[in-house]
Amino acid sequence: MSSDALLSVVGVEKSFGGFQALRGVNLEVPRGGALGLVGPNGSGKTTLINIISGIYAPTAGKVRFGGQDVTGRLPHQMSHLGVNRTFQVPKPFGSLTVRQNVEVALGHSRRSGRKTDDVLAFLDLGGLADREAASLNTAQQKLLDLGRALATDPKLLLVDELGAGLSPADLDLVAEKLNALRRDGITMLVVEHLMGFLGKVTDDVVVMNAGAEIFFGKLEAAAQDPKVVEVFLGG
Amino acid sequence: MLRRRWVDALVVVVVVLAFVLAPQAYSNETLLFQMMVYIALSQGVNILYGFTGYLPFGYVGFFGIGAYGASLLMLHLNWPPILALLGGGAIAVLLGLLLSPLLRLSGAYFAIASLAASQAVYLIVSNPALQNVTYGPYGIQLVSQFNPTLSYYVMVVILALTVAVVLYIRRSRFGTALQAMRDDPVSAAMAGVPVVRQRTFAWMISAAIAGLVGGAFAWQTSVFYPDAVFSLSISIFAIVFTLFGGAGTLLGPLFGSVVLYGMYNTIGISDPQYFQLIYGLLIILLVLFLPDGAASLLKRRGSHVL
Ligand SMILES: Nc1ncnc2c1ncn2[C@@H]1O[C@H](COP(=O)(O)OP(=O)(O)OP(=O)(O)O)[C@@H](O)[C@H]1O
Ligand SMILES: [Mg+2]
Repeated sequence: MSSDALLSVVGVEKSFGGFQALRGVNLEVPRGGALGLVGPNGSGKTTLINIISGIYAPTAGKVRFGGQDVTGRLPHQMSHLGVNRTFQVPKPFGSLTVRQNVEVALGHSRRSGRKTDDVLAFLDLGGLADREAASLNTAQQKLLDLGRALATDPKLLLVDELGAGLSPADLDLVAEKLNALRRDGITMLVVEHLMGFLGKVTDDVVVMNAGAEIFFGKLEAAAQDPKVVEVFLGG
Repeated sequence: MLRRRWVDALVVVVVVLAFVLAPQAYSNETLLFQMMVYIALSQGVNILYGFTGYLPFGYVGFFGIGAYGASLLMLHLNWPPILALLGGGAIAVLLGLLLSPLLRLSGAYFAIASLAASQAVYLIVSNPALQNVTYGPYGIQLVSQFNPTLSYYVMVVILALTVAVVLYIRRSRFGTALQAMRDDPVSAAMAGVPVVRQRTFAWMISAAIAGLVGGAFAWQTSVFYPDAVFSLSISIFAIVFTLFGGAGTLLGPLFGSVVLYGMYNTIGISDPQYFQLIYGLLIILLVLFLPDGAASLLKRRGSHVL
């Protein structure tokens, strides 16, 4: 195991009742790197993010963050350590304003020196600051999820299908923003079905199928890999 | 910010003045006292339901244990009433701590489990086997401490504190975090909010209020049976007053208590069981069709409701 990995997932399994959603996943994200995570629907990508962010405890296996074993830590503890995320289906604080959404995260961060206005401006949400979050559209709510995550000043950002449902122009804009965050030193794990988007924001990808990783390497190489092709085109 | 503080202070002063002056104009002090009881209890429900989304049908358990705690401290340990009231509040907080695992349940399960817990406390307190400690089913007599005037003013103080606490929560980071948790506990946790701890804290503040109010009620009433302070209708009233006026605001539950408790006293007192039924139905209708109460009607028109 390389010592400069910020995140290591080692043999992680997760069962829901009798159903095994993850069957021993292994992956690493180097400090400052951006790893893509792809796979068909139901292959366990979101479940893995839920485990890394502390929302689920794994049934077996370990999660290491910054060299520390963080398996089974609670979500707010992961947040304080510097792990944050967006949600595939956005989860805003609907009755609070956009500004308050970000302020809650800022106010409870152990690390953050950021300012609400800066976060909102970065995501082009400044004009919506006083709107109730429930009244935003899905794309705006996803950006707000991202804003809340950024307010906690994360070292590791887990991005779950931020691009889904965006127009091509917005996709480019969001890719730009993720790259800007990376230049600021934020490490990323990016789940995405849109390969063009993924190619813009990640170095390498892990391909998952049925709860296990089946490929690791460059995105272009993945498209040539027979196992990956079989999974995506149906064998 | 400064203006808000003035508004807050003004609200507390108005509430205090209203109940200090009311006995001059209206001689039924018992009714005024009970109205204060319900305003404070509905604010307690408000803290829990309005800010965390948990509907505590067993809320009366804290009221009852506060009433008994304060009474027994006066009777067995000869504590002076005001100290005994504080003791009753502390005992209610302890009960809250004991019951805090219930907060792991969600929605309807929490409502039912909290109800069951309050009935369990009632059954223990009223059990004849504990007659030496709680006087069992025979109830409490505090005749030697009877002081309707002082207990009335102490209740005014408890009410003022309750209102001040709700105002503080509404304005504070803590209150915003509670609302965030109510909207989405998972997001709140990711935002760094220690969800379980904050929710438990709100639950214990709410328990403390009911405990103090219960103690004041015991002192004012001075003779009562266990079913009087553990009656489910106390929970139902506090909940319906909160929902009717508008949970999550200060003025909503206050308005709900004054209007609905007033109504209950003018037309309902002869047939109280109908009111329990009507208010029970009202809870269902409000939750289904007007979850944010009367205050939301004003908010829809663009007014801000404190
Ligand atoms: N809380 C849960 N309880 C039961 N089963 C679950 C739960 N969460 C996920 N699953 C199951 O685990 C499997 C993996 O789901 P997951 O959401 O991780 O897939 P995914 O790769 O993110 O899919 P998608 O691309 O559709 O988002 C699915 O079969 C799903 O139904
Ligand atoms: Mg998913």
